[in-house]
Amino acid sequence: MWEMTERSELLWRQIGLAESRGWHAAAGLLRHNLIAITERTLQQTQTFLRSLMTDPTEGSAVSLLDLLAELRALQQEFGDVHFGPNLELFSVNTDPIELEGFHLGPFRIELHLSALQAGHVFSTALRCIALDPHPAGGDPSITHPHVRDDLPCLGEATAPIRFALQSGRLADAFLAVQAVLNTYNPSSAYVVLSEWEGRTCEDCGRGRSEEDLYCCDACHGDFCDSCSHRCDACENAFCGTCLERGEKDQNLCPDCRGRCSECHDIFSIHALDEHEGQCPSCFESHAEEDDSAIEPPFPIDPLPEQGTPDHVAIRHSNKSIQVLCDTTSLA
Amino acid sequence: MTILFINCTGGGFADRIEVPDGMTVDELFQSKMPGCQPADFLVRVDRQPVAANEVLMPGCRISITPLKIQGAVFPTVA
Repeated sequence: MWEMTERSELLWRQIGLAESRGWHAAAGLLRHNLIAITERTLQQTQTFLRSLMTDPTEGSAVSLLDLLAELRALQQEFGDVHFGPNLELFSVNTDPIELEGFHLGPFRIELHLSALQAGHVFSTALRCIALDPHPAGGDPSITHPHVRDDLPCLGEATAPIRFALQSGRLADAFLAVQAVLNTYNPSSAYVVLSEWEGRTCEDCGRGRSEEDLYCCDACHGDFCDSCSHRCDACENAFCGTCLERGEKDQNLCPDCRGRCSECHDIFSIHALDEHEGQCPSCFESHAEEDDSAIEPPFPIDPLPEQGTPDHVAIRHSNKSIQVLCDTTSLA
Repeated sequence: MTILFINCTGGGFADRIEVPDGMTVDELFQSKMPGCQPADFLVRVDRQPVAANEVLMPGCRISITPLKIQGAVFPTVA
């Protein structure tokens, strides 16, 4: 309903724009659309208002004659009507459903009276069971763009079905469910038909065509574009679980990351290899500590004057020890 | 005369309405469903499919059910 209001506002602006530019034919078409949308909005507003004023627990008693007439009408529309044990279940079979060239097979529409009596949300009392299932690739629970786990998502049929059931109009309720099964609404489908043959992302669960899925190089799962990421080191595709954040917020895969032997933080293997298994900062600080920790093993004599080495001397620096000796005395 | 009109689009309410004597099914459809195509609906009188030129009788029950209704992902709590 609110979407329609937004659409109406957009159309109203477009009409103004079209008229200001002298596009009278376009303005006429837009006005026609606006009238249709406004009528629909008005109808839905009335429905909303009436549903607010109606007690949802209220139901009217249905006479046996009316019930029989309804069952007869169901039989006329669907063929056989099936009854469950203790008359707790009514069901009818639809003709094979085909949406935009996709064969989804016939469905059995079930009304579980026990669920209605138990006070459950009425939509759970209705089930749509695929008799010759052609489920969405990768998710056998989705047998129709608007059916998951046999539960239909009734959308705009919710109010009509609710009031039909409240007043015992079984045929109207079943026909409305069938109308939902015969309609495809891509904007609110569990899996859109263009991706029906595909598989589902193992992270978000959305259906995707084969071409739109990426295989994680680590766990080999299939992930959609949104749930798949690149390793900043090797640039291969991985899922969010297999990647970990490392230095400089890099995404690193299991093969390209390691832990610093000192601080145990995650760094790229390349950085660790360059610094003897440590991260650059640990390596630097370790080296500085080494410098200050090393004491000369014994006092160092001052260097003799150049050209007259008359004894052995040892010079010590951070990295090396230099031995100077009097070569004449050695000789 | 008074008839019971069940509109299974939108709210799906059943209403008793006054219509002129001799009104046909098609005339009622045009007045109640402006801009809609009869082919997109199942129109029944007293639970029976009827022809467009069928004349409505006092106290009859006419229901108009769309053949296509948009479903949704999220079930509406009723």
